Amino acid sequence: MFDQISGRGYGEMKGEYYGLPWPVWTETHGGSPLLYNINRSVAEGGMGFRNRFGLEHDGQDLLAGAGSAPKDSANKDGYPEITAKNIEEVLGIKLTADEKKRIGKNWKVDTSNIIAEKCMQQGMAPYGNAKARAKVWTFPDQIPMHREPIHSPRQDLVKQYPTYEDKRDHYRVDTQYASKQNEQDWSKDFPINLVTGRLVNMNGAGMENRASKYLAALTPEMFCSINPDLAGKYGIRDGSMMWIHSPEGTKIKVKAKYSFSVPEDRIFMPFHFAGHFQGEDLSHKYPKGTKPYAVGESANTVTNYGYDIITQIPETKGGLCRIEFA
Amino acid sequence: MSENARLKFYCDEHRCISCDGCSVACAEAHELPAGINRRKVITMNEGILGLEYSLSIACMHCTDAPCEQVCPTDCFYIREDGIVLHDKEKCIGCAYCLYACPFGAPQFPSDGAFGIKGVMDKCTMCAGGPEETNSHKEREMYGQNRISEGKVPVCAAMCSTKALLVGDSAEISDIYRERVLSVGHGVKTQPYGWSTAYGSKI
Amino acid sequence: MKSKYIIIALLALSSLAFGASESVVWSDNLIDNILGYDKKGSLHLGQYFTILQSTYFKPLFLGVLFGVPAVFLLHYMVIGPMIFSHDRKKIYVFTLFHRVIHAIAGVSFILLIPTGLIMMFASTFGGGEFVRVCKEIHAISTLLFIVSIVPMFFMWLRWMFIHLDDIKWLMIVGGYLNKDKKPVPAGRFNAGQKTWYWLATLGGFIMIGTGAAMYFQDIRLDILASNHISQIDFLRASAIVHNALGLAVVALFFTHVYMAVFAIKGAIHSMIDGHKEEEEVEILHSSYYRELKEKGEV
Repeated sequence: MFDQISGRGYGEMKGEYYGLPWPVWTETHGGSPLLYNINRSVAEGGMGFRNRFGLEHDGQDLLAGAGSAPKDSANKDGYPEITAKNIEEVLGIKLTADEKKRIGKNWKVDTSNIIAEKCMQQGMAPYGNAKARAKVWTFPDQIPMHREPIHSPRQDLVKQYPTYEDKRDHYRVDTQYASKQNEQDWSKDFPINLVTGRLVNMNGAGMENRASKYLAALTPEMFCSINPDLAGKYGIRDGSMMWIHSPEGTKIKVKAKYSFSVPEDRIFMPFHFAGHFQGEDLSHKYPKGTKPYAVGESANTVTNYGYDIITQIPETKGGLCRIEFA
Repeated sequence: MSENARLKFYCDEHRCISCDGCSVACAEAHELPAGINRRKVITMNEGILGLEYSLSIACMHCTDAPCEQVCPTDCFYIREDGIVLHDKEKCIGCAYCLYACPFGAPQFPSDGAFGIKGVMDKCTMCAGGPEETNSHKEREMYGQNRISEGKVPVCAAMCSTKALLVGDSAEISDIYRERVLSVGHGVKTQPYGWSTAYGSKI
Repeated sequence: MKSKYIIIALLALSSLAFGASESVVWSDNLIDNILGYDKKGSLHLGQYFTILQSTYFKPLFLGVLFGVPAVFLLHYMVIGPMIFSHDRKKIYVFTLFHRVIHAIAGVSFILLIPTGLIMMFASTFGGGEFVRVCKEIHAISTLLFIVSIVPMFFMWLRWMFIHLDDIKWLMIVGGYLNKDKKPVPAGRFNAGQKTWYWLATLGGFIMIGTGAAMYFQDIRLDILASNHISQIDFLRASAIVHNALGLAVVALFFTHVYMAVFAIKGAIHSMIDGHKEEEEVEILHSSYYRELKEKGEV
C-alpha cells in the first residue's frame, strides 16, 4: 500500500502519503512530507519555499527566480501567496460571481477552500513561491553574532562583546541586559561557570521522567559533575555534599560527582530534579500519590538572571556560581 | 538466517552514546522489578579525550557458556540458535552462574525480608523460557517472547544509533566489517533509502 | 545471652545487605568484575571456579561421600571396634555445658551437611523448591552452628594446642590399625580430635564467612576494595574455599561419627552423660590418665 521508505502510496493508495502529512491542500491532495522539491508537481507533493517575508526587502525581490516553480506549474517563476485580491491576476483565471462571494480573504482563512482548489488546478502552491532568507532583519542581530552572557567569567570579553541594551516592556516585563552585566564584576565573587542541561538517558524530558521508575533508577539522585582538580581546591570529595551559590543569592546542596567530562573552570548539573529547596527536603508537600520516585535540588534554583532577547526564554547555560564543601 | 546460525549481541563502542535506551526498553518491555537490570550501559574512561567509550552489556549468550557448566541444578539450556536460557523453576539461586560469568550478567532479585536472594534472572534475548511459548506463565516469569513472534530483541530494536546489533553472528560481523572499512571516507553508497524517499522512483 | 547478640548482629548484617537495591557485582563494580575475569594480572578466579565446579567438585564430594564410609567399613570388618571394660570406674570428663554445646553443634552438622550435599548434587534432586528449601535450611542452621561453635572454640581451646604426644599419635595412627590395648600417647584430646576441633572452629568460621558472602552476595568489605579485590572475585574465592573446606568437613565429620558410634564401643555415652570408661581413658588418653593419677583424681 505504502512504500516503507518514502511513505508514498501505490496501487490503491496511489497519490496518497502515509499518515496524511501537512500540508494537505484539498480533500483530494495527498499531503506532503517534503520541505522543498520542485521536481514534483504540487499536486504530487512537490513544493517551493513559502512567501513568508514580504515581496521585497532593501530593493531585493523576495519571490523565487525565473523557472524555479515546482513541476507542472502554470506560473514558472516566483509568485506571491494567493489572496482573494490577487488570485485572478496571479493564477491567470476568472472567478464566477458566486465564487467571488464565497472566497475567503486569503488561503489561511479561506473556509470555502476556493483558493486551494484553484491553485491545484494551476499546479501552484497557495502560499506562493519565494526565496528563503538567511538574514533575519526583524532580529536585533540580523546575522548571529557572539555576545557574552550577562554573568561572564571574562571581563575582557564583556568589553569586546557586550550584551544588548536593557529592553523595556519585553513581553510586558522590563528586562535587564547591559545594566545587569555592568552592575559589578560578577566573576570576582562567583568564579566558576555554571552549566545546566539534560542528560542523554533522560530522553529530553525534564522533571516528568522522575515519575518513571526505570528512568529514575538510572539517575536516582541529583548530582553536580565536577572536575576532580577543581573539587580538590575546595576540599570536595567524590560523593560528598557541596553548596552551590548563585549571584541571585540562592543556593542548593547537591552531591559532588567526579567527572573528567567537565573542565576545571566549570560545573555541570542536570535539571531533572525537584522536591528539595536550598538544602531543605520539601517533597512532603507533593499532593498525595504524586511524589516522584526521585527527588532532589532543582538546578534552576541557582541558574542566573538573563533572558533571550527575542523569546524571553531564561538563560540556563551561561551562568556563574561559587561552590563550597557542605 | 542460515541453518546453523548462532544469535549474538554485538555493541559497537564507536556508536554507543550511552543513552541507556536499551536498558530502559528492556526493563519496560519485560516489566522487571526494581533493582534488576538485565542490560546495562557502562562508560569507560569518562571524560578522557579519545579514550572515552560506552558499551551496552547483558548476557552475551556465550557458545561455551560457563554458567551452564557450573550450574548445580543443570537448569541452563542452549537453544539451537545459540540463545542461552534457564529454567527458573529448577534454579535455586545459588549464584554459581554469576561467579562463572565473565560479564556479571546473572541477576538475583531480593526476595522478601533480610535480603534473601531469589532465583536468577538474566537477559533471554527476548526468547522467553522453557514454559509454553507466549503463555501467560512465560510472560510473568521470563518476560516477552519476541523471538517467537519474529521480532528483534527490544534493546537492539530501539537502539537509535544502531550500535547494538543482534542476529546471526556471521551477519553481524559482516555489518561490523563494512563499518570498519568505511571509516575515514564515508560509505560508498547513498544513505539507505535516500533515492527512494527523495528521488523520482515510485 | 550470647546467642541473642549473635542473632541481632546477624540480622543487622542482613538488613545491610537488603539496603542495596542493585547487586554490587552489577552496579558500579561492573567494569572491575569484567576485567577481573581474565585481564593480565587478575586473579583468574572465574576460570578456576568454572573448571573446579564443572569438573572436580562433584566427583570429589562423591569420593568423600562413598570413599570415607567404605574405608571405615573395611576397618570395621578387618580390625573391628575397640571394646573397653564397663566394669571399672567411670571418669567424669565433659560438663553439662560442654555436652549442651556439643549437642547443638551436632544438630547443626546433621542439618548442614545433608543440605549442603543436596545443593551440591542439586541436579540429582531435580532442583526447584525442594533444593531451595534445603538452601534456606542450610542458611538457618548456620545460626545454630554459630551459637555452638563460638563457645566451643573457647571452652576447649586450652587443651587443643599441639603437643609432642600428637606427633607420636599420628605415627601410629592413634593405634587404630591393630587391636592391641597398648596405651596411646594423647592428652585430654588426641591429635585426631584436635584436627577436627581446629577444622570445625577456625574452618567453621571461614565456612560461616564465605557462606554468608555467597548467601547475601552484597556484603561489601572495605579491606577487599582497598586491596583491589573486586566483589565478584571475593565471591568466587568464597565459593572455592567453601567447597574445598566442605570436603574436609564432610570427611572428618564421617570420621568423628564412626569413631564415636562404631570404632570405640560406647564412646558416644561420654557426650550424653559426661562419663568415660576408666580403661578407655587409660588406653586412648594415656597422658591425661597419668595426669589425673598424679592429682589423685582416679
